[in-house]
Amino acid sequence: MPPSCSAVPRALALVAALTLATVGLVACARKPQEGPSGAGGVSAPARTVVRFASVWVNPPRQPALEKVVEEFEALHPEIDIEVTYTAPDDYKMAIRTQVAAGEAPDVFFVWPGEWLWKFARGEQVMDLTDELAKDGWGDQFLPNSMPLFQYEGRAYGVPMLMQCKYFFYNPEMFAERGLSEPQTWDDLITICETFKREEIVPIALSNTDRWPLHHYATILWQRLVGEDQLLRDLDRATGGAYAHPGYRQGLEMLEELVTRGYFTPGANGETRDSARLLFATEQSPMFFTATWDLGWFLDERQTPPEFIDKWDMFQFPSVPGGEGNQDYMMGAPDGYAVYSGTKVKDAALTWLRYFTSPEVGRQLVTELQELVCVQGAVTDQNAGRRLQKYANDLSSAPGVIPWADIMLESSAREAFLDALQGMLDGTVSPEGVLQRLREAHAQARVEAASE
Amino acid sequence: MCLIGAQVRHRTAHRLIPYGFVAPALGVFGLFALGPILFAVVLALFHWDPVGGTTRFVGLGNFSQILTDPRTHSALRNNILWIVLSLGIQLPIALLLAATLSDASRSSRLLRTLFFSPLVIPAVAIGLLFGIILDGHFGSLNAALGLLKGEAVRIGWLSDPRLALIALIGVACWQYTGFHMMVLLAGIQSIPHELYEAAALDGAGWWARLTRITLPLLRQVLLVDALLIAIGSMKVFDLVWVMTRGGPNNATDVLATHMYSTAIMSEQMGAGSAIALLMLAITLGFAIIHARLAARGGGD
Repeated sequence: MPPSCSAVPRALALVAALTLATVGLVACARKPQEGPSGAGGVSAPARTVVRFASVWVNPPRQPALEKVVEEFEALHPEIDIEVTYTAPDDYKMAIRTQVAAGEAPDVFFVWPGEWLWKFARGEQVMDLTDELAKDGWGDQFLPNSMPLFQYEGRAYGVPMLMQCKYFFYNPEMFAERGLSEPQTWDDLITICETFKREEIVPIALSNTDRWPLHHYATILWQRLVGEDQLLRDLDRATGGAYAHPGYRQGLEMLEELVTRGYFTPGANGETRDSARLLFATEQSPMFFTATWDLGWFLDERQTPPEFIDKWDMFQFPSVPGGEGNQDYMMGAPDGYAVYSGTKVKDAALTWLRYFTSPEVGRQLVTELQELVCVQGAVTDQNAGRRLQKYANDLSSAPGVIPWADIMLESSAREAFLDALQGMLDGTVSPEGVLQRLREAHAQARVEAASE
Repeated sequence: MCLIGAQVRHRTAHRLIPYGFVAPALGVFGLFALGPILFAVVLALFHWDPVGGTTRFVGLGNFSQILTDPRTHSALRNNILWIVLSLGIQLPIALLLAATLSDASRSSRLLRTLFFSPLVIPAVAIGLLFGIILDGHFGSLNAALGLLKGEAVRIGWLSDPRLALIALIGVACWQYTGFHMMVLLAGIQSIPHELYEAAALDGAGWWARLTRITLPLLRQVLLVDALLIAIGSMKVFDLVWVMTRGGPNNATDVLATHMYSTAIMSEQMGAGSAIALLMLAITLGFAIIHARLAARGGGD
């Protein structure tokens, strides 16, 4: 064969090989599931890597988690916990994308209720019911913290931190004006009016993330409509009517706070840090936030040191005449689930059992001053004044209503949160909010029925 | 017989060689551009919820949903405003800077680098930075205005729905004007120097040289640059997402953020893909005009 004849196919083969190599390199550029086999070529035992997704991005949570991971890895040298930290609002999107791509972390943070149940319906999270029955693992959690992790009688996650809403307030600013903690809605209005007259914005609010305002709607609905009816209406397959007059009344009461100027102006564009700062720098006397901020306002890295002893907290006031139990609290536990596609199930479960053990629970309570959902985690020794008050309130509360956004189907939730943002802007009426919620929920019901 | 066969093989192989050379680029393009586009076309015809695990064929249902959605209309309006303001602000300033800084002096080179530098900062970093500067309560812009005015200024640059979009476009202009200055500068530097010398001899001043020589000869580059601005404004996402997430109350929502929140937050991948295809159609329209202009420019 002439030389030119063989040279051309050789060139072609080279180009083809390069093409394949390029595509191959790109396709193979995935994170290895197993860890490195040790430095210096010495054959150290291969470590099983457990990928763990956390939303604990700030102190004191993030360093506390790092410490727990270090201690676990010292106890289990064969397991390497690879933590990724994502801020909660980014995480909500990131985890869905990872699950859709089949690339979810082995153990990941979850909000319970419909948010988690959807993952369970899609068989994206492992059924932990049998595991929880072993060695009494399931019995160690606080009663009432488990039900929201259960879907059709099976458990798909474990609780970690119980979060409830409180009005964090500035007792000094209250006392200077002869005000005390409000017992009823009218008391709250009086307090707000007193500050407003002095041109002080009574309640710090940031609503860029859209969910802060809906917490007001949820608790007002619980107070007015009642907890059972509210949960029935929020259910994606059977709810959606929102026929009780308390729904409209609750939104009108919320609108009253808006139109009277009791919230931070332009709150739809305010960040959470900005609202925290308005409260911590004593520009606003109240901040309706959840117990996840207990640690924040006790931590010198986040809060002016002189403010740390200044603040206190009270529960959302009652609404006389409402059909709900007026002593209900609002909140939900957060927790963790195991990805159904994990290749390291045993190591993942070993880590999760350790992370939710009473010892780690007590350690986390000490460092975070938050309520860990493990029995015996909160003690007189490791909990400060505010956390003890919260733990006592919770144990004596008749029940806890979960915030609506974790109970609503995602498109109904988005429509509802958008409409509430509009109400805060004055572009959507209370009836308009309800109308949008009903329409989106009706669509979700159709989808649920077609499954 | 063998010789003829070898010649045919030779010719065939010869014809195939160019394809072999473009194959790697084509492979990467197919994998990362064409593949996802085709996937989006298919997705747009389905109701697909990857988390809940449901898939249902809905035909053109997603398109009719997004085309009748008022949020799509307001997002498109915001994109158009973004294009118009970007063109109106960036192009004249970039042209002025390019015309002023086209000489080779040390100060011009320094200023060119300075004006270009925002482009190398990631949009996320710029978003976070300006988020702090423009904060209504604790931002440095209000603090500076307060010093000038002698009393506290509380302008909600990002929290007032009437101001937020304008503030974002302002930040985008700050970031990209330097880039467009460079594009126009390249155009200006390709204009023969003799023309300016001749004009100077005839007594033409700076303004006359700009309007009689630079602008007419830069027309093609200006058009191409304007299209670049339009395409960039249509695709804008990162800055908006980092600074306002499309809020307050969708005041800064653009098609890309609308697409993202529909697909990811509302978990409607099909409707999200339909918005992506709408964006593709619009930017493709701009790109076709761009290609035609570029081809005509080459022939001039």
